[in-house]
Amino acid sequence: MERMTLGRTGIAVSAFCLGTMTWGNQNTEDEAHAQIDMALDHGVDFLDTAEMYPTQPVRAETVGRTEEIIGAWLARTGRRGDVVIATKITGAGNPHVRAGAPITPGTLRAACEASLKRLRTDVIDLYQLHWPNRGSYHFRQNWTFNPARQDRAATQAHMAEIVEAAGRLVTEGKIRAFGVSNESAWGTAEWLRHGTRAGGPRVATIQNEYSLLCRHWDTDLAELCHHEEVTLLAFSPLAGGLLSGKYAGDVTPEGTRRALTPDLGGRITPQVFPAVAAYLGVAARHGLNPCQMALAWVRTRPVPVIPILGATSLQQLRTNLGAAELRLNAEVLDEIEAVRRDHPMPY
Amino acid sequence: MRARTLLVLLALAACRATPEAPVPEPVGAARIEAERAACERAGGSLQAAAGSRLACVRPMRDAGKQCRAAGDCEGACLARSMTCAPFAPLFGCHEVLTPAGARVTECLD
Repeated sequence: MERMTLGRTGIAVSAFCLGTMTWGNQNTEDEAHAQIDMALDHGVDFLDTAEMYPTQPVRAETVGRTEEIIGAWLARTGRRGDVVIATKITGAGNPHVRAGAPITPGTLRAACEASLKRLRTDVIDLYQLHWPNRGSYHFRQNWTFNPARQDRAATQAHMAEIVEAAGRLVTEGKIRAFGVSNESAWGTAEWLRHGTRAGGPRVATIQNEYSLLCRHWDTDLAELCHHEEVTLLAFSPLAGGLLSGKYAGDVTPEGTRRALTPDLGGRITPQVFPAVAAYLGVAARHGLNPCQMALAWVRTRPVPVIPILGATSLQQLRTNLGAAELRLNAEVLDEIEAVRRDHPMPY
Repeated sequence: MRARTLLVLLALAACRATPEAPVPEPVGAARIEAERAACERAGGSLQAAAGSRLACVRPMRDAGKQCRAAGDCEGACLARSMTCAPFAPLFGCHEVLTPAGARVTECLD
């Protein structure tokens, strides 16, 4: 398994990250632990979670359950030194998490302490802001995004105090690195500027949606990540399962994410199934597993990207981990680019 | 003129006559630089601690090693992960193991 470094932190991780948001809802604790064991056996030592998880749906009574499941694995195995753990503080507005409270210096510390307790650990390797208080264009909000509603001075004052609070957590040894999620190019540049001004912490990673079907990151954000050495952690690299082909023909198999979230968070559009069919066609023509092709493609980007792969069964996980061995040839990459031009923005 | 030269020589001699006079402690930025240099010589780095204070934070050679009590580590033995702390001092509140292996919350502001 290839190794990568998170931004400029020196924290080395596997080139794939294991997603966890199904643990405690679609997956039991035993199933989750088996996934961690299998991932480690394949060289994947990077776990991404959040205080809010599990999802599909987020419920007040399950908030924090995924972190508890990881904590139980750490307590049982004593293998804290074998994994790199990323987690997140929930952004403003989710009624199930701290009554929708925004991210403030106080909530940052309280949420971090609560995550440490649930994870049964003393340090979080990467602490991320799940989404910015000011809102974002992610999760299909790009269709109606209106940045003119944002208050520049208030946002900058907020960033300054959050960077300072995160710096204190670094000083105390409770977090090692700081990252953002569902951010924009302007937002990330501002976080970087405030981090530099305060003497750290500097944004190491940005966790945004990125896949064959969702390529918002490719332009301004890719440029920023290149120049500022910010690593993209790509969530939903299989587009919520769409790229596996299991929903092709607009079907909803039992036990899938779509059975819980019928529109897959706004990803089901009139444009999406023709795009999925075209990518499945590329995989079929070259004898590739479509999930492995989609994951391996993420790894071909010119700027460092770590795909976050999730699974609800060990069989799915084994297949997805196989993407680490796959190198896409020029012919496949050319066909993928041709599909992208025909289906530029399926959702 | 000769008298003036003599006075200057006497003054210089007086300067040389007191080599053991205490060197004044550096203050302000010079003091911080001196502390930074001393800290770095000891393998640490001067970092902002609580408030506007600076502290010399040193990495621990046994960071991440498994521990069961405070005596197992150069610094603190962190209770949740039962591993040696990555650096010292540890500011804020932490769950640590005492020399007897008891779990306590230790706070350092």
